[in-house]
Amino acid sequence: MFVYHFAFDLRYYGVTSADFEHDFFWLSFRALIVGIFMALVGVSLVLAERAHATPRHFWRRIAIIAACALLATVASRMLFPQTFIYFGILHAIAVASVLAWPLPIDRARRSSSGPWSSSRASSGRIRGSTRARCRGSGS
Amino acid sequence: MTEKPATEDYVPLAPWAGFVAMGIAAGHWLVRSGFRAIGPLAAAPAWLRWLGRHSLFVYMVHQPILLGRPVARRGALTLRSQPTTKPDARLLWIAYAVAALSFVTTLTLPYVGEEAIYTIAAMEMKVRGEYFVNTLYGTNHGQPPLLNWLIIPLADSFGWQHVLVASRLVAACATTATGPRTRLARDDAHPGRAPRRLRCARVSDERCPPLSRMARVHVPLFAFFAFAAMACLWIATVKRSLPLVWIAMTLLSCAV
Repeated sequence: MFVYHFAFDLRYYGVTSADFEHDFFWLSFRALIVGIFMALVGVSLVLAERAHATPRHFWRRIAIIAACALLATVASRMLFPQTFIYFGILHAIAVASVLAWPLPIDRARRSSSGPWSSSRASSGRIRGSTRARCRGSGS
Repeated sequence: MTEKPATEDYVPLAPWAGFVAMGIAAGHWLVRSGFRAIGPLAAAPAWLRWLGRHSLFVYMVHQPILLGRPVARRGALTLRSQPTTKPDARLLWIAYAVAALSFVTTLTLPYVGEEAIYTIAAMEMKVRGEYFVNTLYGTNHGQPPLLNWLIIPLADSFGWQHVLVASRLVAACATTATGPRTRLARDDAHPGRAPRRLRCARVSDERCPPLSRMARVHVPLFAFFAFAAMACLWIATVKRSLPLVWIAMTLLSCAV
């Protein structure tokens, strides 16, 4: 991602003239990055569930990502008025995370009615040790 | 995706949300297998783990940092303007190393311009066994043989079908070595101030056309030895050292 964006910025400053929109190499590079991003979102959902994240945690995460997505839209609107980002990677992560809820994130809990249900309120706060383990092996 | 639409970033849910499902499957597999597949990652350096744990923060911050300063100067984004300072020497060396590494990507390009002259001449030298006369298609080429001497052993070890790579490797090494060598010479001779001739190492065509043209287009080896000779002469005059004068003369004869 750093490499891709650095190359992108070099073009922005007119140092290079790479064709990020049509060149097979750059399109594949980007597809690889985005694919890894989205797959890690899935992995992280499982790990968060395993660490007993509550709906509160889930929605807090969605809110943060959505805010960042909005920031990306605003900033790109200033930099690229014609081609600003209206549905970029952060927007996709936020929406896909919500849409992923029906998927078997927690195999033991398929009957849950969704992140908006408070049926799991009893699980309470994230337990420190589990969370540390989860983060240590996370994305 | 074969083409990107007219927005700087577009990640439609189809197909990308599918990758989330794949990630969920991968997550279950990881949990079931006790994280054995990514076990080695636990031994990753601390800064790498920090990047992983703060991925959103890193994502949000890296572009402003990469883009930041020039954008602020343009006024497109009102970021906090920073005082103009001299670039950090370490950063310059990193940039230099990256630039040097970029030569690697050029090693396998097809023949450009007059490059074939040096490879063919080296091949002829090897075949004819006359290591002091540089010929091209059998006629005296009138070029110094040093470059060919360096190309031949490399081509011998790579295989002669890769002679172009060998010749480019020589050129790339000479070009890469010229920068630090000139810098070291400058520090050695006169800390803090570059002698006028050596400043030409940051060559601009206007300042010393013949030198830079030779250095850039023709033979980086020439540049390497010419600048080495100049540096040696400079240090020799500062330190009044006769051996350095001899070294400078040897280097100069290599260049010619």
